[in-house]
Amino acid sequence: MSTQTAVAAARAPRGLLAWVATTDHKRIALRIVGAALIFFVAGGLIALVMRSQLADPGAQLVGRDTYNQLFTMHGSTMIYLVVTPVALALGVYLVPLQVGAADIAGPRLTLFGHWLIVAGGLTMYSGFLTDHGAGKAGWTGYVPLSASQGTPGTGMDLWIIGVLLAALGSFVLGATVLATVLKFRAPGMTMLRLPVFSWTMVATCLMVVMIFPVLVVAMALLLAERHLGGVFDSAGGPITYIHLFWFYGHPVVYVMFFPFLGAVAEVVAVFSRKRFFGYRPLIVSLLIFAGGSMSVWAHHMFTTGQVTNQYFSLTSTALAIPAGIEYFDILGTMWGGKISLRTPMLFALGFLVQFLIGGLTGVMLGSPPLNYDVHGSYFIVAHFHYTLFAGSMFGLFAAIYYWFPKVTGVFLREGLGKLNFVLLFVGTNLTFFPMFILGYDGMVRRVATYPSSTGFQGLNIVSTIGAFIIASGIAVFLLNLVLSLRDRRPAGDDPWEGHTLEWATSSPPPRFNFHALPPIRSYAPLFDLRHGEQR
Amino acid sequence: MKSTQSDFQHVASLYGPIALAVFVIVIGTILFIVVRFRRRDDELPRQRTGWPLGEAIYVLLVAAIVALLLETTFTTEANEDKVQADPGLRVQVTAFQWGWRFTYVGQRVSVLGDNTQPPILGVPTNTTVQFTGTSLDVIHSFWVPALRFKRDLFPKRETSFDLTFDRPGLNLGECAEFCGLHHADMTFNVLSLTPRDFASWLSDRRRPRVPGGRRR
Amino acid sequence: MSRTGAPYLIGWGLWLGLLATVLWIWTPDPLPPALLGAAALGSVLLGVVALLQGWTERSRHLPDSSLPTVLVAFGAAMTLNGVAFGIWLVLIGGEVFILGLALLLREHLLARRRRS
Repeated sequence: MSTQTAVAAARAPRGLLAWVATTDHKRIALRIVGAALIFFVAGGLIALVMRSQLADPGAQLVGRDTYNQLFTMHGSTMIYLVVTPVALALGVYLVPLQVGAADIAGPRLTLFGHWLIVAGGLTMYSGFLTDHGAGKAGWTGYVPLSASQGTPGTGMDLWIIGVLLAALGSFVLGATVLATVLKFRAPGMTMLRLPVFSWTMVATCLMVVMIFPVLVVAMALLLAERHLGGVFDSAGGPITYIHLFWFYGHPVVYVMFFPFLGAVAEVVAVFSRKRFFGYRPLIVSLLIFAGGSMSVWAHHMFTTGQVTNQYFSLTSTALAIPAGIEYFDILGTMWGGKISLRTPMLFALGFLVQFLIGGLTGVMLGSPPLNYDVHGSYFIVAHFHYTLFAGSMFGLFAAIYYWFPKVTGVFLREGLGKLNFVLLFVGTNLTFFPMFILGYDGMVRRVATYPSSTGFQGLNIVSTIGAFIIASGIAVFLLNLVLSLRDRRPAGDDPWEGHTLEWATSSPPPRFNFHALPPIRSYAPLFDLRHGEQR
Repeated sequence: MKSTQSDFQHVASLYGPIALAVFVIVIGTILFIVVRFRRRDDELPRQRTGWPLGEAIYVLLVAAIVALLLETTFTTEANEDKVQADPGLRVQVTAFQWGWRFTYVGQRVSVLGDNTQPPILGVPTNTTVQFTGTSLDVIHSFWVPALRFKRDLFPKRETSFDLTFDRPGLNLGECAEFCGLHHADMTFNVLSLTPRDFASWLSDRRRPRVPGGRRR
Repeated sequence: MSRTGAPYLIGWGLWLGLLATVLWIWTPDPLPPALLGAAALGSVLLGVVALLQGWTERSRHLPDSSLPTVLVAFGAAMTLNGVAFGIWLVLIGGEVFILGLALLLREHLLARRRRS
C-alpha cells in the first residue's frame, strides 16, 4: 500500500454535491475531460462555420467581425480549454495510478483548478452576449490590437479574464500532478522505474509550472493596459508582450504534445508485447527536449526583425535530435514485437505518421529564410494542425480507446473505433494538407474571405469537405461512447495485458486506487509479474 | 545582387528533399514493421530493451543533418538580412488600418490606398529597393509572396529591409499579421517595371498631390 | 532523499540555466534571457525545496467532496469578472471567495477533529 493513508469521511456524498465537488482525482479528471469535450464540440462547430465560409470566395455566411470572433474563439477554445486541460487530466487520472499512490497530491487544488478552467471558459464564451461580441484579436491577443483602442468592448476583457482563469487552473493542475510524482510514489517506484507516460507528465508539468505564471502575468498586464493604459505604450511595448506570450505559447505546444506522446509510447509497447525500448535514452531526451522547447519561443518572431534569429533557429532546429530519439525508441519498441492493430494502436500509428509531417514542416519553419515566406500564412495553420490535431488529438484517441476499459470497466466498440479512425485519418489529411499549398501560394491566415481571383477556391473546397469528414468521425466517436456505455461489454481489470500499475487494480479503480500493489522492480511491473523479470 | 526568392529557393532545395527523405524512410519503416511483425501467435517476442550503439550512431547522424541545415540557414539569412548603405531606391512604407502609404524618398511621390482601393507599389527591376517600414496603429506585416519575404511593421518603430524585383510584372502584396476588421482586404499591388518605365511611372505621379492609389 | 526526484529538477534547471546563459551572451535584449533565467532559477529552487522537504509520511484527512473549494474558485472568477462588469461584482465575488476560504478552514478543522 502507498505511503500515505487517506482517511475518508464516513458518509459518502451522492448527487449534485459529489458531482461538483468530488475530491477523488479520478472523478475530477473525468470532469475535466467532460468539460473539455463540451468545449471541443463548441470549438469544432465554430471551425465548421469558418470552413463553410471559406469554401466560397467572397462568401458572406458570417460577417468579418463575426469571423474574427470565431477564429479567435476556435483557437482559444482548443488551446486553453480543450487540449491543455485534457493533457493534464490524463495526468490527473493516471499518474497517481501509475506511481502506485492512493491519491493525488492536493486533491482540493485539483478540483479548484478544474473549476477555474470551466469558469474561464464560460467567461470567454459569455463575450458573445456582449455588445461588441467575443474576443477578436486572435488566440495570441497581440497588443496594440488587443488594447482598448484596437478592440473596444467588454468581450475582449472577458476573453482576457477567461484566459487568465484557465491559465491559473492549468497551472494548479500541473503543480498537483508534478507533486504527486515527486512525493507520492509507492515504495520501490524509483524515478527510473516511472512508466514512460508518467515521465512525459513530469516533463509536461515542469513546463506548466514555469510557463503558465508568465501567461497569467501577460494577461494581467493586458487587462491593466486596457483599463489603466500606459503598460505597453512604449516603442518596445508590443514586442515585450509578444515575448511574454510566446514564452508561454511555445512550450505549451509541448504541454499539448508530451502527454500524448507518452500515451502512444505505452500503447505501442503493450500492443507490440514488448517492454519499452530505449527507456533511459528516452527519459534523458525528454528532459532535454522539454528544456530545449523552453528556449525556442522567438521562432514565432523571426519576421519582427527584433530578435536574435540565429539563437532561436539553432535551438528550434536542434529539437529534431530529441524528437528523433523519441521516434527511434518507439519504432525500436515495435521492432521484433508481435503487433496487434487494435483501435488504440491504429490511432498511435496515425499519431506517428501525421505528427511527423508537423515535425518536419516545423524544422522548415525554424529556418528564417523559409519562415520569412510562410509565416502568418496558411502554411502555419497546416503545420500546427498537423501537430495539434493530426498529432495530439490522435494520441488522445489512442489514450481514450486504450484506457477506456480501465476507467469504465467496459470496452469501446472495435468496429466503430476503426470507422472513427478511418474517418478522422482521411478527414484530417484532406482538411489540413491543402493548407500547406495554400500558404505557399500566398493565402494569409485569419482572413474572413478571399477574392476569387486568387485561385484559392479549389483547395479550400477540399479542405472544407475534409472538415466535415472530421466532424462525422467525431460523431461516430460520440455514438461509440453512447453505445458502449449502454451495452457495457465487460473488459475485466487488464484486458490488454498492460505493463503498468493502473492495470493491477480493478476497473474502475476503487476510491483509493489499490487494495494491494505488486512488487515494483522495473518500469513494467505487470509485465514482470506476467512474464518474469528481465535477466 | 541579392534576391530573396533565390535565398528561399536555396534553403528550400536543401530542406525539402531532406524532409521528404526522412518522411519516406520513417513511413517505410513503420509499414515494414507493421507488416513484418504482425501478431500471429501467442508466443512472447524476444525482449530487447535497448541498443546504445545504434542509438548513438543515429543521434550523431541526426545531429549532422541538423548542422548541415543550420549552416545553410545561417549563411543565407545573414545575406538576406543585410541592408545596403546606398540602395538604388528608398521607399518609406507606412501601414495603417487598413491600408498602405508608400513614399518614394526624395522623389516627392507618395502612393496611398486602403482596403477599398489597394495602392500600387511601383518598383524598378534589378535595382536594390530599400524599404523602411512602420505602422500607425497595430502591428501589420508587409508580405510579397512572389518575393518569399515578409517583415512585420510595428508602431513607433522603424525596420528596414532590401528587396530586388527581377522581372517586370504585377504581383500581390498582403498584410500578413492579423490587424482587425479588414485584415483580409489590406492588400497592395506590386508593379515591377524596367528602370526606364519606372522612371516615367514615377514622374507621372510626381506633381499632382492626389493619392496615387486612386489613379489606375 | 533522492526519492523525491529533486536531482532531476535541479538538473533540468541547470540545463535551462545553460541555455539562458548562451542566450544572454548572444542577444542584446535583456528580456529573453531574463525570462529563461527565471525559469531556470525556479526549477533549481523547486528542486532544492523538494530536497529539503524530503519524504514525508503523513496521514491526510480528506472529505469525499469539498464544496468550499468550488466556492473559492467561483469567488475568484467572479472577482476577476468584476474588472469587466464593475465593482459590484468584485464585491460579491470577494465575499464568495472569503466565505469559501472560511468554509475550507472549517472543513479542515472538522476533518482533523474527526481523526483525533
